[in-house]
Amino acid sequence: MEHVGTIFGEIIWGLGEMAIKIFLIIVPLMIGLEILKGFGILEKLTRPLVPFLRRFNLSPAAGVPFLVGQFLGLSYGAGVLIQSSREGKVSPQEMWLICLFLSLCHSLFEDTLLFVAVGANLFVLVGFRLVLAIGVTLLFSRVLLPRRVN
Amino acid sequence: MARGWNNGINTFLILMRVMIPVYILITIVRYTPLLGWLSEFFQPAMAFFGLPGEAVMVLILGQGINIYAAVGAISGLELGIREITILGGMLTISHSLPMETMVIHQARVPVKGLLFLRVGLSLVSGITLNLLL
Repeated sequence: MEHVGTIFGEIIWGLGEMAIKIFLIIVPLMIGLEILKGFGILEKLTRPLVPFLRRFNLSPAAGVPFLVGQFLGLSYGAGVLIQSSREGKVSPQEMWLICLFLSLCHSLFEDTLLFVAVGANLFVLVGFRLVLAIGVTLLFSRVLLPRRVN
Repeated sequence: MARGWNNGINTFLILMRVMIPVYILITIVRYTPLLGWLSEFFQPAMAFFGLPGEAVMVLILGQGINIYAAVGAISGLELGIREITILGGMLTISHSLPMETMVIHQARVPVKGLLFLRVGLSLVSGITLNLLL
């Protein structure tokens, strides 16, 4: 029973820390994204991605959740994923494909470096993960769930 | 600006609704023997990935909690570059499953297939890396 106090304390402190961290990342991120959208900068940033997205049968609107999820990871990028899905600019099937790619491959360098720090091979990890995520997403978008390109 | 603030607050609340219960559950589970039992059960399967039985805890912590927990467990074991690379390959593909799956679920994306693919591909990756490296 003496564990109960420890667990309770750990939960309160851990949750508080997590909540503050997420708040400090999510709120400025969403404000920043609105500003970038207002100036049309977001569109310019995602434009180089369009040919890449098209290979996966994804429309240009998929660029923002894709980019943010890739760099910030699923938890912090979730805000943008949730918003894209609710706004309806990205179809449910596209959302599934984006989430498939992001599930397999997000925060590519941050995650990898944690393992490299304890001795893993950087090139094997990055190469393997990229090839797998691209291969599986291509397989689903072009062979298993093909759909006309807009 | 105001719209960004509102979006930020909304997203924050949605994330908290998911993360708070998952976090509480994970913290409690860490104090139960559940992870130990799971490890014991899956230990014999480690041979498929060319890993020693004790590495099972790294996989369980990574899948159930997060990469930090897994990396912490790796530093406590004496593993070579090859073994750590195999573990890294398996865990970068699939990790923090309760948290990340619930977050994707909040984006109204069906998660069952994704979860199955993630875990399946992680296991296949372990076998593949064991053969390749």
